Amino acid sequence: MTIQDYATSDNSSLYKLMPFAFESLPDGDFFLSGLAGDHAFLNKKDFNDLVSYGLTPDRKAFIELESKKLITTGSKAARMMTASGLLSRKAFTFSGPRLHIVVITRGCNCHCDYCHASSFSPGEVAPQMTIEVAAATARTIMSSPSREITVEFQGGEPSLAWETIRFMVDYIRLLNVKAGKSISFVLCTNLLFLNQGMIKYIAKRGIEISTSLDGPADLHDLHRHIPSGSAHDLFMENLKLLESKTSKKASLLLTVTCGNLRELRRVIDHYIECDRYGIFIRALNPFGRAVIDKNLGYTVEEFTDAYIDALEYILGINRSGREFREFMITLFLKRIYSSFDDGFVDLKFPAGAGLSVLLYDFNGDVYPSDEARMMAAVGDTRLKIGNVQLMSGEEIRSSPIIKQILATSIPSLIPGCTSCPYAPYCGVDPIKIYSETGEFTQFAETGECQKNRTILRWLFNKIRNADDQLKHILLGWTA
Amino acid sequence: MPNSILKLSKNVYNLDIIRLAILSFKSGACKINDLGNQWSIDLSVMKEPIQNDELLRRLDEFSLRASLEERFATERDSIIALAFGQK
Repeated sequence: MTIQDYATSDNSSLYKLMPFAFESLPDGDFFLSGLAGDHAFLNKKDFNDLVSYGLTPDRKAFIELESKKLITTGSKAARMMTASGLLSRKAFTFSGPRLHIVVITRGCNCHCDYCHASSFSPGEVAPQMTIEVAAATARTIMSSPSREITVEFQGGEPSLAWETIRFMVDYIRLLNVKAGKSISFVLCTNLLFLNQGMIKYIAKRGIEISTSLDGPADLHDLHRHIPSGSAHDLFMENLKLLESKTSKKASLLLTVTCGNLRELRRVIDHYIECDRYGIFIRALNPFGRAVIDKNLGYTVEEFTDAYIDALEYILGINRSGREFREFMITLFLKRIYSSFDDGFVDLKFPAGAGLSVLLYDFNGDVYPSDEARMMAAVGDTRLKIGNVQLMSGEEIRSSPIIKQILATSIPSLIPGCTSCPYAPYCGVDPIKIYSETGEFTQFAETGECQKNRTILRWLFNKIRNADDQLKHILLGWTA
Repeated sequence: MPNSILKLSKNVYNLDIIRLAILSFKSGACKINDLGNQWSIDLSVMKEPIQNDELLRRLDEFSLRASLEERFATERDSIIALAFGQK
């Protein structure tokens, strides 16, 4: 008798199945997850009994599944709680764009081989945002219905257009006197152009800093070039100066290329030497120069193998007493243990592009995400929404492009995602799919999907087999 | 041969079935027919019983998914309506 035969015998007098997705595990057991992200592991007998309505209330599996709303004994409570959990997870779909990325200039003082922003190199004359466009952009940003607004300045290297940044920060703060929103500013900078005056303003306005560190000097300088000297040495000097004056830690981002893929343990050691409490191990973005230079990349399997090795190394560091997180795993853990929106726009169902994030280019053109703008920078402008000087914020937010992204990123409509038990913790990026496949379609089988499934399988296996120390470590990361 | 024909819903499993079909045809394991809103996987065309345990396991799993999906559809719609209808 197969499990399908069991499933066809419907005796629902004791309990009713709630919607769940499942997969069998290599050891023969099963992993299940519900609509609101509750999960369970069952051995084969319990699973077969579950789907054939053979579980009885005295069984441990029955109690666990009922408490996790994967079965119900008929009350409406399970349905209400699942609906409530689902609504909490998807509340971002009603709140309006929260993250607003502003490309202040396309110019850069650094030449990075993997630059996905297709920036102009040092010495080239690069376009820059005018004050008129900056003012129109600020007004569009502040028209978002979201009560929380993050304005992220990007480039190129945005500090090269410092006066425009100052104008926008002060103008948005002025507009917010009436609006009363919670506003934060993030400057994405390589730190190489910062001076004392800029640092003083950054400290005064509480601007967050997001920057890049690809490892110790030999790895960092491998793909990040400045006209003379070591980009790493100058970076470290300015990082120390910045943090001593602002008393705040900058966020460091790692970009993994084939140059540091097999050196991740050394990169992690360097982050610890730099007094960081975690690392975000980011795979290469398949845009801009990163696509043109085929020598930078690696296969999904090569990345996940190296990533999991790095994760094991990080867990070892934590076991020896030092708290050090990996931020992608931290994000997944929060999604596993909490129903609340985490604000991470790059991996959501439905996609965050346009719905939670908008990007404003130097000339006022608006895109649903950074990736859409990067595609435009290399000639594909099909995802351009419009321009802040020609359209109202309302017109921008109701663009057919955003509706199309929404329609192609609902998990129950995506083959593969609808039956995937990892979907409650995952997401899809239709724009990245477009860049990989050349089509704007509901298609789940991308490298991104393969990567996320491998990582989530690894993580759930860790959770399932965790001893007390590991449980403490993983739960600690969600705090 | 047990379970000589499996019928699977087409709507939400297209890619799974395409993968399965490729795997099956390559190994000569079965014949897949288009029934409109379902695929039928006919195992009776095989001369020998399936030796591929992984394929058997996946067939079994896909079949169960299709069966459960039919039972979940109404409840899922109710939960989604309850969640988002309140907004």
